[in-house]
Amino acid sequence: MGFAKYQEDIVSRYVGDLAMRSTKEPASAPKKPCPSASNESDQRINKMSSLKKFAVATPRPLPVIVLADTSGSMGENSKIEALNAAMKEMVSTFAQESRLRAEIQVGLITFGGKAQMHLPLVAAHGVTGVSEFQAGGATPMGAAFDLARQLLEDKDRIPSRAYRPVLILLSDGQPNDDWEAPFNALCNSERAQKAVRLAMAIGPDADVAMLKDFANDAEAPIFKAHNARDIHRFFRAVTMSVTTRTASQNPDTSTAFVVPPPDDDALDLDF
Amino acid sequence: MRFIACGASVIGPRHRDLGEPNQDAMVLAGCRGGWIATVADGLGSRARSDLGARSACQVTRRILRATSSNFGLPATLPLIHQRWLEAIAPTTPRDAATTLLLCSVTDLGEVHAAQLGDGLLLVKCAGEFRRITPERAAYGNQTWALESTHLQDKWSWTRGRFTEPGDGVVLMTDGVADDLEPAHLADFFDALYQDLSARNRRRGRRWLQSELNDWATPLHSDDKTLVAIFRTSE
Repeated sequence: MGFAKYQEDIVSRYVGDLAMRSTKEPASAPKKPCPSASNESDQRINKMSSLKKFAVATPRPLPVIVLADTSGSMGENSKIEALNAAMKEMVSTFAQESRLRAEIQVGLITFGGKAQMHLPLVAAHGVTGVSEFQAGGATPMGAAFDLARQLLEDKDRIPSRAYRPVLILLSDGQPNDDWEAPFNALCNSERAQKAVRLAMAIGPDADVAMLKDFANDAEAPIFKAHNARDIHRFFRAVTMSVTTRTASQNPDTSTAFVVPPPDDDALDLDF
Repeated sequence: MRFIACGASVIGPRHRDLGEPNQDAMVLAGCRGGWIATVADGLGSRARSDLGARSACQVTRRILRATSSNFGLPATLPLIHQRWLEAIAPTTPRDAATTLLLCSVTDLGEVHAAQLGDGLLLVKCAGEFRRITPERAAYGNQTWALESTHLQDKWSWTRGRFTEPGDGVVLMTDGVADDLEPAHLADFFDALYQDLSARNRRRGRRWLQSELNDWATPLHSDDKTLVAIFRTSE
């Protein structure tokens, strides 16, 4: 709240107060159109510029970037199908979220055979359909880390006014490229390191130690998915965490990461 | 020398929806023919950030009023922090953490200004516009703040002299600053001068409140506070 209304000096009421002056123009104020004699001062004011034209025309973004393992092993036991369904559900929920005070943006990076930007960072409500991931090839996770770091460091794609991005890594195996240097670069980059990092290990062959090192949110330790339902549960927790942040008092504050309990009635085979 | 000074602080839509208080605070006060202005933004995640912001503005005003015209602002910053710690007690510094922007303008147009944390500090002296606030390295709402330890190296400060009409200083919290086009800050500064110099103080404040309440950025949510002091004539 402002205090100036009540706390000005007596002196200040008369010194430097434009109200005490005649309505003549300031000595060298920038040139303005000369009002006609019939114009009231209010009409003159209405013609002046407002501050609105200097405001950014886009909402503050909250980027959510998924690093998805789409290597050949993800084609086994319906893992890739579960991942595709969970991704669609997450993006659809983000798009429909109506309590928002921020614009959720989604970016998808896949690494299977090669690392690539599957979906560039776009507003979730503008995503008309996410093309399905196809499983195949090796696991070039290091190249995916490089892509993620470049995206997080790019002030044109993620401006300084953006809320803390969320970076989600999910994998079912061991990286088979030179991943350690890109991983360290991502974790030590002045800007990229400030992102919230979540991780999910899919099945028994995932590199749990590396995924644990990747995750940096105290609210969300590494999640282990044993079956397709677990993948859905993890992404529902991500969705809930992100949408809660956008509706909270401070969207940059970590929120509780609560994975919903499994549905005991459903039959699902472990990976 | 004449000045026009105006400030407004409005509660953001998010806090209004949640029934929370405005966590920004401001003081704009005349002082020996010049002006003192402070703006603070309590950290949204802290329980008593509204108290922290108000206390920061009040203690800064008291300290700046007591200084002589040739004081050194950097040497005054630790005292502001110390007095703030005393003012918020028994609330912990963590619970009351706040950013702080401040400026002092003498009757001769000497300006001293400083900033800790986010928001924007803009100054124009001798017709030369300058952004004092450093570029943000990371993302929004990640900021330094008044807390338990004084961080002299995290402050930015400047001094100068208003030598011509249109020179001035503008302080604002991140609710405004983060939604301004960075490339047009100098134009924004000049537009603010034009608009305020055409109104008396009461109308200027109403106009500024209305501009901040009707902010144009979609989904804007944060509290918004802006204070401006301009030289208008000899």
